[in-house]
Amino acid sequence: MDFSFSEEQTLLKESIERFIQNDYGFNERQKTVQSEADFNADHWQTFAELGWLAVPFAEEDGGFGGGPVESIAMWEQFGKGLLVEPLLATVVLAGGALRLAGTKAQKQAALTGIVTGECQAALAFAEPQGRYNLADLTTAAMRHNGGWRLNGYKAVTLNGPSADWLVVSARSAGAQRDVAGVSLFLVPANADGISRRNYPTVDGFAASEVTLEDVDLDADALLGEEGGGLPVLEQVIDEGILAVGAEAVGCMEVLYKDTVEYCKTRKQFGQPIGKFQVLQHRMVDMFMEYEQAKSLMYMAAMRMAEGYGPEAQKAVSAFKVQVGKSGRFVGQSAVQLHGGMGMTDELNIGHYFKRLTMIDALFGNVDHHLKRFGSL
Amino acid sequence: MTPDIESAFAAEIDRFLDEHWPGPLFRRVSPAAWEAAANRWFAALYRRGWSVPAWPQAYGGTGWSLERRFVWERAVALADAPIMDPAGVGLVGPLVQAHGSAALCERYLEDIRAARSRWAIGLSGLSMDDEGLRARRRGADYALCGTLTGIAGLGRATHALCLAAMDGGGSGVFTLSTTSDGVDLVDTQTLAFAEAQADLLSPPGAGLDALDAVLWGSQAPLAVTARVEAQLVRIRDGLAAIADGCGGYLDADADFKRRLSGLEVRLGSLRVLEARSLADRCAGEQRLGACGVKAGMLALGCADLERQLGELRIDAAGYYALPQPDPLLTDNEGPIGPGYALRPLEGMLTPLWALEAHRRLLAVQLAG
Repeated sequence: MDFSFSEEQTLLKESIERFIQNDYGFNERQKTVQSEADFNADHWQTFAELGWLAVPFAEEDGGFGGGPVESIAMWEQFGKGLLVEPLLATVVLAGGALRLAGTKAQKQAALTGIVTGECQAALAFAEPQGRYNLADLTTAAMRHNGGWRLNGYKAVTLNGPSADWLVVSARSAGAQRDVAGVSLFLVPANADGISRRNYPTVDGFAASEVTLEDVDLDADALLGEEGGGLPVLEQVIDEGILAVGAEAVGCMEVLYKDTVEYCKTRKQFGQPIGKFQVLQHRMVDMFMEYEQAKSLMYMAAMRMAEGYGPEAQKAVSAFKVQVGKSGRFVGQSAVQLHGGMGMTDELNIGHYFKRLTMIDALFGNVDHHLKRFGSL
Repeated sequence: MTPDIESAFAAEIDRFLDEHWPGPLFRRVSPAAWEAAANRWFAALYRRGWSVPAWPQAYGGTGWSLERRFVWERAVALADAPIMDPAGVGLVGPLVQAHGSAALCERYLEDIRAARSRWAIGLSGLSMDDEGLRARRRGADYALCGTLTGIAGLGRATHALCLAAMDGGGSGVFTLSTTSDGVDLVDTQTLAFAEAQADLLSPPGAGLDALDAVLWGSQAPLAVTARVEAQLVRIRDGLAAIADGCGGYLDADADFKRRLSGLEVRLGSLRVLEARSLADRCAGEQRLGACGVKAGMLALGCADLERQLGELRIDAAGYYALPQPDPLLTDNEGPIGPGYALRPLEGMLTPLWALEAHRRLLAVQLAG
């Protein structure tokens, strides 16, 4: 098996590495988090100019036709930099739904702006009662005046505050948790009847609780087949898992390397704490956890690249389980080995820990994906 | 196995709590309402003379037996009532009483007892070779120079207790106002000192020993499992309000039930250890040997249990683990999502940090 990146993939990876080294230091990142804006608009424009926003999209849609391998090559680097720009929400989630199910007109309307960096998007799929069940929907889509009318409530919509477009999942037929009858809609975020309660998240991003009250849409707002939205949603979420999982692998690499360096410097009882065997063993375990997650990242990317189906789903769930377990161990160990310093806002350690913890909560935690893995 | 409880005393405590504290579910309303209620509670404690039960009576303590103190601490913790500034009451007070002059007692103790001061604790001043905090003699006083980071509770503190390296060798525990000349607030967890005048609260060169004596001394908390027990109860209640995405609620989910049961078993063993530790202390083993080891095991066990409860809270909250708990948002518009009551990430980092510290302390006790 070949685990090396192609020349093009390596160039892509290195361009992100350079950007993070030169323009995205931890202090720079913190300035963005602490500012009024949800992300740095200048950085976003740079991402567009460097082509990062276009990677997963087809060439006829202005993209580069990248796939799962390009995704992990990029997202591992994004994780090292702890980026807070809404790449996941706009490019992977909402952009992914458009890529998989959008008509030419819908792509023209929304995808073009995403690729050029001119517009933001969000996928409004979660609901308070639904937990990780993508089909558990109380948001209803009814036919109305030749178009659609949406009513409902979407929870924790990442990038909701900045989104120009929302991709909304709603039930157009069937009972609350039926597999069939889920439809997706492309909705302008400023449409009448939409209200957003915006808030920051603990890991530096922004999200919204979105209320839809008699939101009237034209018939062409339907994204994909009527009632056939769930398979699209599942694939988009699995692509999201691949992305945030790779991001977590990047976070873990920084955490274990920084922890090793810290243990060489920090002294107690007259010697560097890295000399204590018990801490050496802990660092070995951190490294092992990181490497195991990385291995399953490759496996998941390769299965996804072979085609989306049960084998890919199983590999993605296995990856998410390992990321959850490894992220928790590496994050917690890094904080413990840094002592009080690990808790400070000024040091990056606590921020990586928070991001890893929130990645575990995204798209299903360890328990959820163990069950899914067993059921496939 | 459990301490004898004098029913009249326990009933008196229950009445006091009923009268002055709204109850264990009150914290869910809003941060501002919680703050106001906490201040009323502290004032009631002060009026009743119960604000610092562990202190010697000469300094305003209650003179209760260890068993009564245990009963009191446990009742307060299970009611989820606010505790008096633990840094001021548990560290600064005992240090001032042991090593401070009459003038220092007057300067600090009454304000702590009346909850008029808030103390931040910075113990990382000896950590690094080139950085950290140094103290040098300046006439009859001491002056602090350097930077101290990782200071717990600095945001709202009026005073700070700092561990610093002393010019004559060893370490010292120092106190000063956070608004003193030469003290610069760098950020919410860091202070910079430039010749800042400070009071020494330990024998010169023996700061670590003085801190150690206080941490494991007669005024150290007795009922440490009750706070964890209260968290566990809160989580169990919270699970009943969170849907599982399959038409049910998490309190009926097999995985969560199994995890909760595992944590309850662990808590049960810690409660017995706590009772054994209390028995040792009642028998007069105040500091050394088995008593200190049991206290160390308790602290370590509770920190690890808190870590696991933190993981459970985040898992239970699902997507609602993400919203930043913003006091302004929750005050103005109400809490976000059904997971709010679990306060998913609250206090998650503290037990992690404490775990390593407790392990090292216990290792020192065991290995000498």
